[in-house]
Amino acid sequence: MRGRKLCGYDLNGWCDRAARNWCIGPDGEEIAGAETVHVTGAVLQPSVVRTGDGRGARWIGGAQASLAPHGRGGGWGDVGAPDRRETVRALMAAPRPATQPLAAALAGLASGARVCAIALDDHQARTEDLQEALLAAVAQGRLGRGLLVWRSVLAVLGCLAEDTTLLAPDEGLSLGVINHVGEGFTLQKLRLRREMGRGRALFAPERRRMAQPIDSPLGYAGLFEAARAALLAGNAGPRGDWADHLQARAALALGYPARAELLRTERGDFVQIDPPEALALPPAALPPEIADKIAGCDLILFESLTSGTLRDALLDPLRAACGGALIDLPEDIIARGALEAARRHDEGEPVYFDFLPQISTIVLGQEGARSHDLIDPEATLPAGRIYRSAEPAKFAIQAGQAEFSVHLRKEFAPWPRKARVEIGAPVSDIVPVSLSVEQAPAAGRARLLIDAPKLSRQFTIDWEGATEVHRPWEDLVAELDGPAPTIPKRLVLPCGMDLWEDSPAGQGLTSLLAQNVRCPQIDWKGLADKLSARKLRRSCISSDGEIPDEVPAQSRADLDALTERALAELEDRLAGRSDSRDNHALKFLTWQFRRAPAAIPAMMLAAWQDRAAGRKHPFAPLKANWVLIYQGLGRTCRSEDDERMAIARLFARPVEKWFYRQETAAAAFLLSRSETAPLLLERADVERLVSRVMIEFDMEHGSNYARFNYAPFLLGGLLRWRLKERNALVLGQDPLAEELLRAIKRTLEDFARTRNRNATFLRAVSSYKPLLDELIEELKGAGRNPDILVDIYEA
Amino acid sequence: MLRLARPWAGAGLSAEAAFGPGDCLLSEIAPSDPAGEHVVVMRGEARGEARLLVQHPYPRRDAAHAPERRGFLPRPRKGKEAEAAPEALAALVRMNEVTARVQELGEALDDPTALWPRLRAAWDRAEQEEDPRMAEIVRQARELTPVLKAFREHIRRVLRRHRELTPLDRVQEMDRAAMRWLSRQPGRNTAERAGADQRILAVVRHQNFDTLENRVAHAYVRLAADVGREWLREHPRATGSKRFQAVQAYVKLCKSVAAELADLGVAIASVDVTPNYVLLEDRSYRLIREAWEALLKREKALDELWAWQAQTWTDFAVLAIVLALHDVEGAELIAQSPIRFLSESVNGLWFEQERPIAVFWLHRQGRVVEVMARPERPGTLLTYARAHVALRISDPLDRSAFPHRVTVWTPHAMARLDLREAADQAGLRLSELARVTGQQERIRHGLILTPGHHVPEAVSAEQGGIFVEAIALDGAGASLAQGRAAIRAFLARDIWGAA
Repeated sequence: MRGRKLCGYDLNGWCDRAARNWCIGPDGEEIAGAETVHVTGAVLQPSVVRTGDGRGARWIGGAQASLAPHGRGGGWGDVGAPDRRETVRALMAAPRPATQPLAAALAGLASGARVCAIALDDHQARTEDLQEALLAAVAQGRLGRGLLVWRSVLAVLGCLAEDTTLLAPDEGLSLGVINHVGEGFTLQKLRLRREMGRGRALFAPERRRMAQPIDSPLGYAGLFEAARAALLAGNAGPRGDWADHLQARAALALGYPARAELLRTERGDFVQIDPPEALALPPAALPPEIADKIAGCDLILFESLTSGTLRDALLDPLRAACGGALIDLPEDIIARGALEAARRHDEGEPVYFDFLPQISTIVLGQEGARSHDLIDPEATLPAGRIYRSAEPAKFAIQAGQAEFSVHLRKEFAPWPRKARVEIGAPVSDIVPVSLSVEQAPAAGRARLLIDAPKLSRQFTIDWEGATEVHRPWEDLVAELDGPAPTIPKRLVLPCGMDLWEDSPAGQGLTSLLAQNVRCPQIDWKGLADKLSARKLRRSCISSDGEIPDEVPAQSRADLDALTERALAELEDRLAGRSDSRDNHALKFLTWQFRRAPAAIPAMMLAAWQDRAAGRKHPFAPLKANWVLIYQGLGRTCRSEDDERMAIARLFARPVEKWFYRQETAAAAFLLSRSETAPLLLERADVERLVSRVMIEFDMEHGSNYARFNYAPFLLGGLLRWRLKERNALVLGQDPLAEELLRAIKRTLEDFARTRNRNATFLRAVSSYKPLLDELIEELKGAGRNPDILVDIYEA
Repeated sequence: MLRLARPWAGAGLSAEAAFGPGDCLLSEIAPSDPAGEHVVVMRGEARGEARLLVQHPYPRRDAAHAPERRGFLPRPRKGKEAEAAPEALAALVRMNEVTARVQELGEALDDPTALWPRLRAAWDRAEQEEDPRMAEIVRQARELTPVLKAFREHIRRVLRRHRELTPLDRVQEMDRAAMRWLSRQPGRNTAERAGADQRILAVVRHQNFDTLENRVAHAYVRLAADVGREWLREHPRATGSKRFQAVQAYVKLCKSVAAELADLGVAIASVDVTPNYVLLEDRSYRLIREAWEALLKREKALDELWAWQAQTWTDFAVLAIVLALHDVEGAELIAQSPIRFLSESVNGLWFEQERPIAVFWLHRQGRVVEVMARPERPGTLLTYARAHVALRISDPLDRSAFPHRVTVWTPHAMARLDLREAADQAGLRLSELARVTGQQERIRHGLILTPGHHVPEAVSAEQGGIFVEAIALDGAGASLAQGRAAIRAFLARDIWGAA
């Protein structure tokens, strides 16, 4: 069975070649197969010519174009018009290379292959536009399945394909490759990797960075310019750019023997041009740093299209610097390497491994704006394989937007860009989207895809259409980051002496304590009422459990003693030694806030546990008693472990079944008074709490807002979750914030209702309305009242 | 309108005379003249008047009108070679040879960097008849033999349903019509209705080979056998070669497969079938269909090639001259318009090329020579000479010297030309043209390239310092070798003008 036709192109614009695995013999027999390698002759100074006019016009390249009189001046008649000829070099250097002439340039070298590989300089000037144009040309010219491969890689592949081993391949062998290019030279370091091919092991080079360019007048462009100057100096040709068309120019520049040539003038006469024997090298030696830059490589490969003495002149300094490690590769090695690449590509064997230039975007996440890399920096990809971002950047389109913008940065682009994406119609809801990259090595521009499953749509970002932002990427990230959203301060209820001291309204706590500590029958109710009372916004014991410094030592001792007795009483009840149903002792303890004995929170939690299990609890003979138990925990809880347990037990009951004075209040107390409780919440917990807030807002809608006090309180407490997630519950970044805003606005509308307004309602409105307004500010992340929690508590 | 038996003829055919097999079917017309079937080969101008040199096609049958052509041999039809005249068969062989040489240009273009050396190698090879060149049928003989053998083992069949009177115990399936039939039979039960021979109408299935894909296979093996036979007949001296034997065996295989298919009742597909799934997707059938289409395409082209042989001959002659110029010592090809080879011939032309065809710099002679064929602006003298091929020779470094031309006539007729007569008459024509005044460019010499009917010959005639060389050559074998040698010898003569 005949093998498939494969072709490797060395299209460089200076001296083109192609290598193929088939040829047609003189008897018309087609010989094809793995062992056949047919390298076409070199086409010096290649160009493409346009034959025909109008619809019959077509481009032809390769050797036929070199011989064609097209575009060589009016002396050749109509076909000599200059617009009929274009050099391949000019084609490839154009900002947007035309595909049709490029296809002709390739097809002129060889056509008919099923799979082909094309060499591409390992140089940044070979833009993604050129890569795309080359691939488009392969498709347009029907040249088979195309693959672009870097020149440096092809030099190595060419060596690997040779039977006479130019190098002994080995796993991890590091190779320095010097490629001669138009601008000068490129230096690349490649590493060999041992990979499995089709039923055999083979070596494939790995490329980890762009080659280092070294500009030099010894580049092909410089050599061609020197050759042109030499021709002009030696001959008086006709006017115009005659020297550019001469084959002798390319021959001189590349060190081939140059022959006399006939030029045709505009009048049709011939002029003979005699080129000089050889080209005097431009006065610049090979940059000495080359040797240093590729030091450390096991072998150094030198690839150039030049030959003869010119090549020796280039090589000698290198030989001196690199010594025996230098391998001088034949001129057609790139074409042969490309054929090998095509063969591997055809058989699905690894051609080479490549890195991908990084592409980043900015994501506004919970932790603020940050740069997100769409390509894994460690990824090396086999040629021809498409890379998809492992971690797409995730963000959201806000409701009501008909377009959105994305910031992007490419590794080799000078500035970042801002791309606008039109959705077409404003979205009614928040739409989560993900941005990912699809790219294959050396295959043109990456495809930037935005996937919006909610809209069932995909958008492609047009990098070229995006506007350049002339600012460093880091500045952009910092700018988008903005100030951190505000966080309400922790709620601390202060303590004061006012209630400790006697007053005309009644006894102070000092007297009450002294009085009760001696009595066998303690007035728990009086004590508890005194502790829970507030005067001038101050209570006896602060919510952190502190006592004013002025309190005499005797009173402190009295308080401690009574506390012990209260605790003992509670323990008696728990143990069944007492059947009292009076909860005032408990109240007395819980209103000591965090000063209460450490056993109290544990007792409360145990009570919750009993309730969840459906058991009766001695502290709660009536349902209403649970309020004290829940709120008591909220007041007395102080350790992180207790908080964690409390949160877990709260959520053991679905939020829909919560009671506002019990669970809601407890959660609100925990979140607003503790430093640590907000940090214990996870996103799912926050979502549940937000839904509870929404429920309570909804429940009060249309009522007198008598049971409203804990909903804004819980909402305020939730904002303290920003301690953990910086941008949580911020409008525009967190969908939950939008829901909360909607609920608040609905309530505010209800406040303005005209029916069913009564004194209770009006009192609620007057106290809650300013608070809700402030909460909206907080949701925006720009609250102006850090003590909002205190205000809510007071309301 | 001037109908010409020879391009150099002084007078045209008389009004009542018709073109015959010995004539070249050329006419000189004014642009407004109705000329019948033709293609323009040269648009000349003489004394301010446009004169077109046109070529008429050979008739498809023995005679045709507009212009009147009579007494021609019809092209031998495929499979009816036995009925064809031997002259016609020989003409077909010659035509195939010439076509093959021109097609070798297309193969040589596979690597344009070595176009002419490759073409030369191919032509050198064609001079040896013992080892024939690759042809479509040779390729098929090699590649399709295993396919045909596999096909023969597994010919696809279908089961077709028929209604037949079936013995009661063999009835498996009945349909509406069968039941209706049964209900109409007299009798009280099935056994009675089944009648004396106990048969009722029932559906039976019979295997059938007459499917579209088998018809295509049948058409192919018949065509391949015919094409193979023709090829064998055209290469009588190659009996020892592997290719000959391969084709011979293939023809035999095709014939036996064709006989089998005929026995199975497979009809022959018409040429315009739409391929079905099997023909598109089944490997054997797909390869057979593709091979069939390749042969059909060639067959279809034959009619046109036969009609426009003279055009192909001109291209062949031009290629022969370009190759001979390559062989001149010190010759360098300095310009040549790109050649685009066509996948099918158009009016006998296999490739498109703008002007100039080829420009050589002969270092030794110090001359630049341009090969002109069907020139766009031939000038007065070439128009008079009615030569649509010429060499334009100039001294590149002496601007005062005018270029001169060597005319090349490529007359093609069904009968072989008398070279002596042709050379004399052409020489006469040139010496007349030498007396035309007011012309800067002169015609110095002439060359006639005409089919040799495998009797190669070269004749020279000289008249007043102008000589005309008439060369008879063919597209293969010794006749090609000698013809090319004669052209080379002509180029070695003193045609380059005084230095």
